[in-house]
Order: sequence, then C-alpha cells, then structure tokens
Amino acid sequence: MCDTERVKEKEIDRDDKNFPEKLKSELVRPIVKKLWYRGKWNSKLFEKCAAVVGARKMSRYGKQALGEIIPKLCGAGYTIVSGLMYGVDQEAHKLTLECGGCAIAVLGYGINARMEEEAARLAGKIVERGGLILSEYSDITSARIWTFPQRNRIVVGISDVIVVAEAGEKSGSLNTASWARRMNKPVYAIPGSVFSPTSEGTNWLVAQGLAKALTVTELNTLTHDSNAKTQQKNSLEQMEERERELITKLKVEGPMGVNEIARKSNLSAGEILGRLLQLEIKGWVVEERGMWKAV
Amino acid sequence: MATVGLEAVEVTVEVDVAERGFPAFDIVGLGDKAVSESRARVKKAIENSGASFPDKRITVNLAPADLPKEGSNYDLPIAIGILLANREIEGEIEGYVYGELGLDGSVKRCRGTLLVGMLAREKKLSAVYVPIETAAEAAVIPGIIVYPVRNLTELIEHIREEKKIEPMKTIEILSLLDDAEPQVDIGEVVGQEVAKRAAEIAAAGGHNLLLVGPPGAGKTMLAKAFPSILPPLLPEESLEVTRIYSVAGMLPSGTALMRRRPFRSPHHTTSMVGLIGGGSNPMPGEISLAHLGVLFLDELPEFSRSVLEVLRQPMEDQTVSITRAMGKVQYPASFLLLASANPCPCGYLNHPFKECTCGERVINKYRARISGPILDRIDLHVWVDPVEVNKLTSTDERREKLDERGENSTQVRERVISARGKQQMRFTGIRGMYTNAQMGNKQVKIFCKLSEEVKQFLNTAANKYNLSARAYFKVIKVARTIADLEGMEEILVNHIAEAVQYRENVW
Repeated sequence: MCDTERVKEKEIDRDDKNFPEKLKSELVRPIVKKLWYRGKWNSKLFEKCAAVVGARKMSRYGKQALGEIIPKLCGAGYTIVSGLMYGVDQEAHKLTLECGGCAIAVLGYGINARMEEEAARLAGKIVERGGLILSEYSDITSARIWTFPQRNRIVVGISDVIVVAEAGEKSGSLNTASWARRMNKPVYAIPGSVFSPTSEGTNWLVAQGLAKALTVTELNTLTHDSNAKTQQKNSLEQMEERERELITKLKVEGPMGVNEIARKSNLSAGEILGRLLQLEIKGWVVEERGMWKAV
Repeated sequence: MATVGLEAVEVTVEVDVAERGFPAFDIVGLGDKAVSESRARVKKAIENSGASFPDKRITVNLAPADLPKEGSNYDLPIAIGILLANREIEGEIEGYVYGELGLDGSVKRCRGTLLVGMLAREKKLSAVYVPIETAAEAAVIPGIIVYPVRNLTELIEHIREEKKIEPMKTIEILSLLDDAEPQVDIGEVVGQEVAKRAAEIAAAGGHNLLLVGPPGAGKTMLAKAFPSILPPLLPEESLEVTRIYSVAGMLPSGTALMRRRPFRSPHHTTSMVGLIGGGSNPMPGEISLAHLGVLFLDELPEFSRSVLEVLRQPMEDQTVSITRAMGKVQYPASFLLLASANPCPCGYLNHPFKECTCGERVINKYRARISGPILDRIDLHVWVDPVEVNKLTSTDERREKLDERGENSTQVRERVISARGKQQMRFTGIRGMYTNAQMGNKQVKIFCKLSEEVKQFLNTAANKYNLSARAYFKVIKVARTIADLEGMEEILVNHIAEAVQYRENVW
C-alpha cells in the first residue's frame, strides 16, 4: 500500500449518527463497533442494498447470469454489496461500475492490508465512482480463516436482499446465506445445472428451502419490472415461421447446442446461429454454456 | 544467378586461363565457403569426365563482384567456363547454366531452379541448362528451352554438338493444378456443424479462424480437413508459391509446381526466426511458406508470446521485411491463420461433464498468452463442443442419415469457389486485394452497404453484446462473406446475426 492511499482511510464509530442503522440491529451479532473505510461516506448508499456473492471460481454461466441480473438491480436503485474477492465478487463489482451503479466492498482483512493487483485496481475504481470500501479490521490486519465469515455478517447486515450467484459444495457463500437466515433477510440463489459443480451449493440452498430460486419472474418482482414478459408475448404471432419453429423445438426438447439443433432440424448451422441471435436480442432465448434455451 | 530474398540477380562467371604464372585456381566475387570449395569439386569433376584440367593459372570472377554469393550452384558454369577458356571444348553456349557438381561429374539438384527460368524469361534468353532433378521447376515457364543436365560429360558433348541433350517439354500449369491429391474430407468430421460452417466462411472470405474447445473435440481433425475446401491455386498464384519453395529448396524433387495451397503447421516450439524467416543468409519462414495458403497454429497459447507477437506486422501487411547485416529482404506472407486452443491449461473449462481443475489466476495467466492485438486480427471465434461418444458410435440407421446430410468437401468447396469469384469481381482494380478479410474500414464502407433496417439491427446487437468499433467492422466483413456464400448482393439481417455469433467471446 502506498502512502497516498493510506491518507484516504477513515473510521466511523457505532455512535456516529451516520453509522448505518441496519448494522445497529440486534440481529447483527457479534456487534460491529467500528468500521474503517475508504472513499467518501454517503449514508444514501446504505438505503437499498443488494448483496451479490458467490464462489471464487466462476463459470461462464455465472458470468452471464450476473451480466443480466446486476444491471437490473442497479437500474432499480440497489447498491451492490460484495467482498472484493476474485471470481463472482469482483465480477459483481465490475459489472456494477460498468452500468453506472453504486458499489460497496466489504473486506475480510485490514483496510490497509496488501491486496492483489486486480483487487487493488478495482478498489480504486469503486472509490473513484463514489462507492465505499469497508472493513472492521484496522490498518494492515491480515486475513485469517475466521475473518471472512465475520466479514460476511457485515455484508448481510447492510443488505436488504442477498443473491448467491454461484457456489460449490463448501463455498463461503453458504456461510453468507446462513447469516442471512439469522438476520431474517431474503436470500435468492441462481439455480444451475444439476451437472454443474459450481452450482451445487446454490442448488442445495434452493432444495433445502434456504433460498428462493432467482427466476426471471422473481427478478422482475425484485426490480418492479413486471411488464417485460408481457410485451414479448404479443409478438409471437408476428414472428417468422422458422423462428417459431426453433422456439417450439427448444421448449419441447429442452436446451440444446447449435450442433444438435442442426442435426434435428432441416436448417443449416449458419441459419440457426443467425436466427438464435435475433431471438436472443428479442429476449426469447438465452445461451448458457453453449446451450440455447427458450425463456 | 544469385538470389536476394525472392529476387534473382544475374551473375556472370568470367574465367581467365593464363599461360604465365604459377598454376593456381582462384575464385573472386564475395563467394561463401561453398563457393570457394567449388574449386575442388570442379577440378575433380572435370578430370573424371574425361576432359583435362589445365595446369595453368586460373582466375574466376563472379560479377557483379560486390554482391555476396552463396551456394554450390556456380560449380557447373565455372567448369564450363574453364573448359571453354582453355579451348578444351570448342563451341557456343547461350543461356543460363546452373548446377552443383559431384566429384564424378554428376549434376546435383539446386535450390531456386524456378527462379532461373523466370529470370531467363525476363531477360529474353532462349535456354537454361539446369540439373535434371529440378529441371521440372523451370519447365513451367513458357517460352524458354529447358535442358535437363544429368552430368558434365553430357553438357560437354552438347556444346561440341556431338550429342544434343533432349530439351524438356514445357509443362502446362493448368494441367498440373487439376489433379488434386486425396485429403481428409470435411464430411469425415462427425457433428461439429458450427465449426464446419465457420471453416467454410473462413475459406470463402480468407478470414482468420480461432477454434477453442476441450481436448478431443475434433479441432485438429477439422484443421486437417480445412485444405480440402480451399479454392484451387490460380496459375500466377502457383508460380508465386513455387518461387518461395524453390528458394527455400523445399520443392519435392521432380515436382514442377506447388499444386495445392500450402498448409503449414509449425510446432509450438518454433522460434521467431523459424516463423517469420531470417538467419544470416535470410530464408523464408513458416509464414512465407504458408503464403496464399494456411498457417495452422495448433495449441496457440503454447507458442511463446514473443513468437506470436511477431505475427502482428505480417498479418497486417501480408508481407514481412527482414533486415540483417547482409542486407534486407522481403518475403510475401499473405496467409490465413487457423488457430486452435484449449480453453484453459487442463482443457476442461466449460466442459459439459468434466470439471476443470484450474484456478482463476492460472486461467487468467493462460488467457493472457494471446494478446489483444492478435485476437483482434482474428475474425471468427468459434467454440468447439466435445463430441459425445454416442454420436460417434450411434446406431447404423442414424449414422446413415447423418452421412446423407453431412456434406463432403467437394460440395462445400464449390460454394467457396463461387464466393471467391464474387470477391474477385468486387475487388478488380484494387491491387493485392482478393478477399473480404483484407478490406479496410474504407472498403467496408464502399462495398458493404447496409440497409436502414440492417444497420439498426447491427447497432442493437452492438449495444447488447458490447461490440467495439473494430469488432463492429469485423462483423460486417464476415456478414459480407456469408452473403457471398449465399450468392446475395445485399447483406441481410440474418447474415449480420450469424456474423455476430462468431464474435470474440470464446477466449
């Protein structure tokens, strides 16, 4: 850490009137006495927060899902809270900045501890765009195995809703989910393929009833964007025969790769690729790990 | 004749046999070791051919004297020069003499025989005397007489007009180009419809293609089938390619011409010089050997980064300049880059059934081995899915149906050829431009007019998928080729949409 960045670090006490009310809640145990932060303190940031957390290892599917979800959350006025760890966390921060949203990163180590290059760069950007870097650990406290779960309680504490993007079997994100349960906060998990090891944790959360599956409908209610789907429905009749055929095929036979569609239909691979992209732009189909499916 | 890069320069061999002075044999004119050793070969060859080597002071000058000369091809002219100067043989010889001598007087093969023929035509000389093994190279040049020389005795008898050497028949270029040899047929690649389609577009428009996928998906197989869908070489293209191979000494003996587009697949340990050419006596590298053909870089990220970076300039300029202490040479390097890569070091990232064991940072490091500028120069990025085993060994009935549907190379190639024809028409009058891939932004604006509807669609897509300005133009170029394949003048929405699918999102 260079000296100039050290200057920017400040602290805020529990007694301060600007200290987030949400963190003063009784449900946040052990209590948070003091926070160190970088950036300009802005109480408004804490008004409506969504935590987006997940595994360090992210699949293409996870990346794609975040690409859809985060802009919507930002658009609905949520501040996106995450942990600045590589993988899902960093992707969430990046996307937030890209779509002009506000970001808060809660660290699992001291506010001045040495960060990895990528994390440091991202932290700088978050601060630049009016976001905050928070930590309950002073100066250069180094990360310990227990500091990350403790950090998760703050992430959950300041958030109104928690989204678990991708989590493996033993992911730390499951810990976040359990904090959320203790604090009675709604948890959403992005469901994934039964074959995918990176979705094992999220699927487990849904299966155990610990989290709601984040479907398109859920996302729309969350972001009060309920007319998106209805607009599409009207145009089904106007669609070309072949596009309709493709959608029907995908609906009936489930997600398929382009190669498979080509084998099962009379269309050439080139034509299918073209049509699918047009359908994707219109919001009828989505691609996940090379598999196309009807929405 | 000496070569400077791919250019041939006429060299005159002057021989003086002096009556006075100690017997000696000197060669001047900046020859290399091979040239100076030629003294021993010439002497023995003459003696073993039944003629006598003069016991006099012999001076040989290779003019122009300031041009460095290398190689053994001066043996034959020096020997003939000495015999003529010593009046051992009486007679006239007109034309270029070219070839290396063995101690028994046999004439051995030499690099660059094609260039001798080309130079003779240029200088309006009637005949060339070249080694019998490589004579076929020169025989494709119309308008000159090619004498294939087997040994020194034959040539001596020819000059004495005792026994003439039978001139070689001129070889018709077109007749050679027709007989394509059997290759891997694209119909043999099972499944992979998307990758095959991308290969077709690449072949038609000269677009560079990157295939990314797990091991065993069939990337290499597809690459091997790729030459079978390329259009045949045009006669002048064939000469251009042969010239490079002739200079590199890589034409198989007895071959007159390169008949097919070259397909080069250098191993990933190839050095920078091996790839772009060079050396103290500069020689063409892999990219020049792939001129007008395909450079296949299997396992692209395994190449060292500095080696890959040197590809940038040749990919842009389609030619490579090499400067060495000896001088500067320029080799053509207009190739189609076909590259394959695994998505991560273990190879199973995004694999439908297998788990990838690579850490995030390892993957990032792996990805960084291919730089942005290189990726930027690749128009088509395609994800190749692993073939499921049940597709390979599916029941006979299904397999038959598949075979019926799957096209073979001849069918695909026909479309490619007609699409190339369209491009040729489009770019008549623009020098050095043959394919859509070569278009700059200026040409894209002229030749790829988009209707309002199409433009609007492209803009929507560009926003949704975050296309950069460069990616935007790439999409249009690829869409142009797709339209050409369909024989359409106008670029339609579906063409653009398909082109967007090949954007840079697999790496």
